[in-house]
Amino acid sequence: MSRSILVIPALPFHIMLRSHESHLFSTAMRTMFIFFGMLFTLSNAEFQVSLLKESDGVVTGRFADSLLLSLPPCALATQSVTLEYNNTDTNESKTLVNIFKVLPCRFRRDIISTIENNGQFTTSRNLGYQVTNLTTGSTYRFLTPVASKQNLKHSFCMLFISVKDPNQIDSGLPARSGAMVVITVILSVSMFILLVALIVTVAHSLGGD
Amino acid sequence: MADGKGFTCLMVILILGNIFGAAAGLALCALAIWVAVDQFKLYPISGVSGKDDIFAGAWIAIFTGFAFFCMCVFGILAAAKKSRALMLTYLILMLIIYIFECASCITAVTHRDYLVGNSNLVKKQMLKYYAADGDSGSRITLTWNKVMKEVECCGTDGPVDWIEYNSTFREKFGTDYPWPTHCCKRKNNYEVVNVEACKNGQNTTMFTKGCFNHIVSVFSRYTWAISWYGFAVLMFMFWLLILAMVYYLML
Repeated sequence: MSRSILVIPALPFHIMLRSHESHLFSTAMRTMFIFFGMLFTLSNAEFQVSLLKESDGVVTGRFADSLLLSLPPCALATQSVTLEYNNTDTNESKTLVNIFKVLPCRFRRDIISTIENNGQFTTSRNLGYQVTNLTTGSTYRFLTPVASKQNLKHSFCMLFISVKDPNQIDSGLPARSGAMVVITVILSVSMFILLVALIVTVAHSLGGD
Repeated sequence: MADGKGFTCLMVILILGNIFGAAAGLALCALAIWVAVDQFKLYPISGVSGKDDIFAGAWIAIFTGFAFFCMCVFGILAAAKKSRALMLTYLILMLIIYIFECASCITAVTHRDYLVGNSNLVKKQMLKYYAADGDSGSRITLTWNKVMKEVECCGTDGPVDWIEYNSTFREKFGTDYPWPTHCCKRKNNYEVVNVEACKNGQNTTMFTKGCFNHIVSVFSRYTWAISWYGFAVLMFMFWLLILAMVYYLML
């Protein structure tokens, strides 16, 4: 059985985290950054828990207070899945025990699945599992030991996109376009020329008279 | 000096130029009416932000366009009558209208830069005013609902705008719906195809493109109508006025 461990240190990013507020609607300045660290031990069968991405068929896997996680592969059929996660800021842990059984991917209420119907037959595809009631701006670590294989543990650390305050968006003039400069310059010059020409014309005709 | 071949030629050119100028002025008036009517109903986006001079420029252009038409007709008369007093009146009034039209062109194109130079202003406004109470809130909400439904888009740069930023919508309705239901695809009877799938962000059941490109194209279309066409009319009038001044000197 081969084992390998890959660790990406999370410490520098904790220092960078300026906001420790867990209140969802605080108007204080928040920083936003995304960090992935994977820590996993390999066993006979391996799978990686990860966030759902656009290529999986969703707009985003990261919501304000929930995440969409990928499902274990169907090779681990009929095994119960337990999910442990831990808020690294407050050190609270939560375990969701036996939330669903892996394959034959029986439809469960909490599993997100798509149903595609092309007129001839309907296929349903299970996308992932939504973990809810999370706190914005906190870091979570996830572990998913599958019940019968004790060594099988996968976890990763990640940080939320903490919500940014829209008042911080700089909505001032970004830049002047070329059209604006051309129109302004040429029209200003032409106005000036016409004014001078009119004055010269009137003066000349009065002088002539 | 007054009655040579060159003089007659100049008078004919001036008359023809004024006929063309009258037509151009009338077209400017009509185009400005089209902009002012705002068929895409995007005025609240510029109005609430205070950068609505694209439409102010349109209103000015309605009047200056029509004034150009009237003055060009008067100019035909003044040139044909070979009257100094009339030509001087024509020159002074045309210059005043010219200056107003310049103001319209410059202000319209400047405010377009403010509004759609980048997506920040539109995004900030959407996050602040969508689902907000008050007059601005209801106008912005109605405008965005219409845009999202007709253009089949969500958010400014995409649906992720609703998640990345805090918003009045989230403060009012919580995190159960990450984005307004207008982002969801609907059937012909206006019912949402799949509310749960839309809430989870499945991209087959919701609109994933941003609305900003549509907003840019509409405001650009309005601005080009007022600014660039107004600029073209003014460049023509510039040379017409120079010729008129030469004609005046020859009278």
